[in-house]
Amino acid sequence: MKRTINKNVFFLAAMLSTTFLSCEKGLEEETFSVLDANTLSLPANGEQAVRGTYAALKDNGGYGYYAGYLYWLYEYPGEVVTTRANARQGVQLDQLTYDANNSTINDVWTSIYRLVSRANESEEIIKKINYKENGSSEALQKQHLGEVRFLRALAYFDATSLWGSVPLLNKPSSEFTEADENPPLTDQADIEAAMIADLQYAEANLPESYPGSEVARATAGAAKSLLGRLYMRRLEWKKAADKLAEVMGKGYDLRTPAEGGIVSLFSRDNRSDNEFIFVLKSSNETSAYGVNSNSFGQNSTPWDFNRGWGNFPLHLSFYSIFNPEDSRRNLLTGVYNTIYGQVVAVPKEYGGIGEEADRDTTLAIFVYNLKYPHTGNYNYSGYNNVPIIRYADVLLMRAEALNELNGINQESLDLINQIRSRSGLQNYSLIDFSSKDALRDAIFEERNKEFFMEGRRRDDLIRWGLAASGGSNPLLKFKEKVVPALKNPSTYSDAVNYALFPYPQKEIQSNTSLDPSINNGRVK
Amino acid sequence: MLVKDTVYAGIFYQFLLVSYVYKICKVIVVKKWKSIFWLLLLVAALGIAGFLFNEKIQDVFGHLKVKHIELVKLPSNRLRFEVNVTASQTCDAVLQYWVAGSSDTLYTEVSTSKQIHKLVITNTAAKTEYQFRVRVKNKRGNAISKQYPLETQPIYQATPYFTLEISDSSISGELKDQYFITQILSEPGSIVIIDNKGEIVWYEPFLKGVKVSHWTKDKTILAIVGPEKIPSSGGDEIIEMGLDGKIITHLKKGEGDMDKLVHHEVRKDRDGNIYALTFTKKIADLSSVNGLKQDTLNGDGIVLFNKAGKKIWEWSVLDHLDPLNDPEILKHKKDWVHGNAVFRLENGNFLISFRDLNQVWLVENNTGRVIWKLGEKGDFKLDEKLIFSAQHYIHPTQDQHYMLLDNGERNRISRAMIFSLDTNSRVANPVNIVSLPEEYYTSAKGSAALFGNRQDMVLFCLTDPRAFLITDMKGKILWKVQVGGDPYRLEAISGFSPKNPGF
Repeated sequence: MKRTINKNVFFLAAMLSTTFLSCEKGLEEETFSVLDANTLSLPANGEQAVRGTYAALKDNGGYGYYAGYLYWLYEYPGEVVTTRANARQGVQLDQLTYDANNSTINDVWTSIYRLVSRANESEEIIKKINYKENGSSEALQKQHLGEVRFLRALAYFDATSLWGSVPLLNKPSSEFTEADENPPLTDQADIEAAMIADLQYAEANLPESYPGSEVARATAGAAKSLLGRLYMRRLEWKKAADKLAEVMGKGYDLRTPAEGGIVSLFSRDNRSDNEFIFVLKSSNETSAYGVNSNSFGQNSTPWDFNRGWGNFPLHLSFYSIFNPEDSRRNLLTGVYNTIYGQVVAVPKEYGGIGEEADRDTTLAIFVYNLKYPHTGNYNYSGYNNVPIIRYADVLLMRAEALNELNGINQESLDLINQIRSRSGLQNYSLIDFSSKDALRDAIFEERNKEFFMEGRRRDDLIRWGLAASGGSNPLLKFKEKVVPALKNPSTYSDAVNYALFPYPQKEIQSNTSLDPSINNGRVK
Repeated sequence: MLVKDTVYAGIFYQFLLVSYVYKICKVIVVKKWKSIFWLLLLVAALGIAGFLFNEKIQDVFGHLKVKHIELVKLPSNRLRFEVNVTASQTCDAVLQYWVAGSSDTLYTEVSTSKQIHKLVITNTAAKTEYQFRVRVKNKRGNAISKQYPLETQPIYQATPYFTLEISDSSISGELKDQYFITQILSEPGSIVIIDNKGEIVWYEPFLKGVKVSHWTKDKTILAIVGPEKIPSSGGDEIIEMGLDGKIITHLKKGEGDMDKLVHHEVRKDRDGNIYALTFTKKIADLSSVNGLKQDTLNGDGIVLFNKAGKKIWEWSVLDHLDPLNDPEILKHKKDWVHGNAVFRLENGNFLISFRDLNQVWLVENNTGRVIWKLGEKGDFKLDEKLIFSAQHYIHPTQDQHYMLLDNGERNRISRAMIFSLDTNSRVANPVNIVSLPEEYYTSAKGSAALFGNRQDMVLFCLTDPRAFLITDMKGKILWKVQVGGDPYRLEAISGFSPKNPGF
């Protein structure tokens, strides 16, 4: 009996305890999880994506994209800026002898698509992040999207300015099909439609300004200005005039003479002026070279001036077009003391002081721009602003658009006069112009003096030609201005459309959708 | 460790409780009613103990199970995936995977004698849907997990394109499960493994270029990595890595014993030492030919590192050539003779190929002495038609013959050549010569090796025409992959895809 009870109790206890045990079966299910470190899920990741996209503006630093090479393509072919004789790629661009193998053309192409690609990847990352549920706001998400879409539109603006029709690839690599790996050319109009969509999104979702520490970011004003610039290029004067008007009264203004005027605008101490609507910012830290600097400081001035490399000489004839009262002329090296103690001066026949400067004056062969001042310490890390859009451009573009729409008109003159009086010049009045054409010419001459070495000349010459020919001849003014500046005028060929650069040979070789014949008419 | 401790504690606790129950049962007759209270208390205690330790107890005493699978996707590589597997007990584990809808099953390497395993999927194509499951096994049984999906992303970084253009049905059997290793020289570079359709199934990207890559007998990959600005397929790093991405050896110029740049070739010898070609320099008096009294000659050498990266042997061609014998030494001194391949034989001696001499040398390991020179003006009688030029990839065949790619600078015909050497009578006899059509001429780089189970075909890498070929011994093209960039070398590899371990 005793044994039986013992046994029973034992079994009872064991059974009860196993009942408890078997309740726990749920814990033993096989479980599966995915750790995807590719997935960026926080608003901070969105911010990183945006910054990475901005960084593509200078590509890998040094000379990349807006840090240098882009402005080679925009300035060298024009009649103002020339090259040093031994810079082969530059000379080809300057003397219109380039072909599809020109490495600068290839570099800019690659940089542009690197920016497009970063913008596409960033757009996807930002879209997938839930900002609201992660302690941020939908407004910031939209701002981030607006910023990358603005940058993408800027890249396509350059691409279409330089090549016309180019591949349009507005999706992240995760959505690439086989065909996307060899994208064909897309009609320029379709690309511009995509740019307009990007810029309209950006202007609607970007703030008007940023706190001081984030001053280089794209604003709604930047998006509107770029949209205005695009409408100008498309000769859509009404849309351009209206869009540019939206930038006015939004806190931007011209740097006044009392503040030091145009010369002080380009001082290195004046990096956040509200005349700058969108610029490439760079750092002055020694380690920034090749990462976060630009090449303009080092390259703008000559060695005997401040140990620069003198890669952007300007023809003396350009100096001569300035009124001596024009303070913009002070952004050129009219006369300077060399580091060796000589004096270099622009000869008298070009409006300089020539031998009057000193007994031992060396007469200048070129002038150099001072828009990218550089301290003469052989510092590669140029940290000048590289202007991309500034308020003076907005004013002059609107003046031009209104003239194209309405002919000579007071508002156009008022806008131009803001620019002129800031630089110490007489105002224009209605009686100064006999026709719309005359005012147009005056506006482009004004633009030339205002924006030299700011990457605008090539687009301006083309738009000038188009406007003056009723939209039919983009090279009308280009040929008129550039041929006399060529070392050998017979280099210029009417069989070549200089408004479109050749597609880079490397791209044609690696992209199976492209054929060498696409460069017919683009190179000699 | 923690898990184990908890399990042991649980077992110990259960044991204590059960023995306590037994003691109580002994006295229960005497104090019947009082003991009911104790009994209930005991049941509650057992229940709580079970609640706490049940899972561990089941793990230890129950059936082997897969408890958790974690698939890890890392941004650094889109074709390589880690899968962390937690089993209920110590066991061996392997992962099976297959393209959704296909019956060809692939396996990872087996991970042995662990409860938590890291399995690495190393053989996938981009933009493909896979299914996978985990199999575990120990002495007490085996188990299979559920199936899970794995979708690979497109790869676009550092990878060129390979396009299959010809694949003759006669070799489909030989090509089954055949993989090839090649490399991207330009920056950013990449080591690449492709399957028989030219599909990339494994890659490892580098910011620098990958100058040459080699599949070792240990199923690892050796590569020379360096910036594009180092010419002659040169690099400043030697990397040995596993398919799982783990770096096994990493030698850098300027660190440890690696004091020279390496170029063109990196391999392992029988004992696992790593050898490579190096750039060497020597000061020589060239004043008699209008050079400097102390002029610098740049030539090639061989370096041998042991597994720990210690330099154990070195050799320089500059100790074995008289510069004044070269009438154009001032022109050649910057890259004299241009070594481009080295191979260490079983007996320890080295074969080395010099492009600009049109010669292959055998170098004695112990003494550094040059045993013989094969080729133009060499030690072997060679029919005029058999003189090779700008050759690459000297290596022995299984039959102890010597094989190379004759780039054919002389008449612009590239060919694979196999020689048997009669070292006594000093005659080089052709065993096989496989000439390619003119359009496959490559002026530089490239490789040729026997291919197939019967070693009756030739695998070519041809740089100028950007082609990988397999031909029969008459030169008929049986397989061709067109390459999007300039390939340097192609090797057929074995053991890339682990076999079914059978559990």
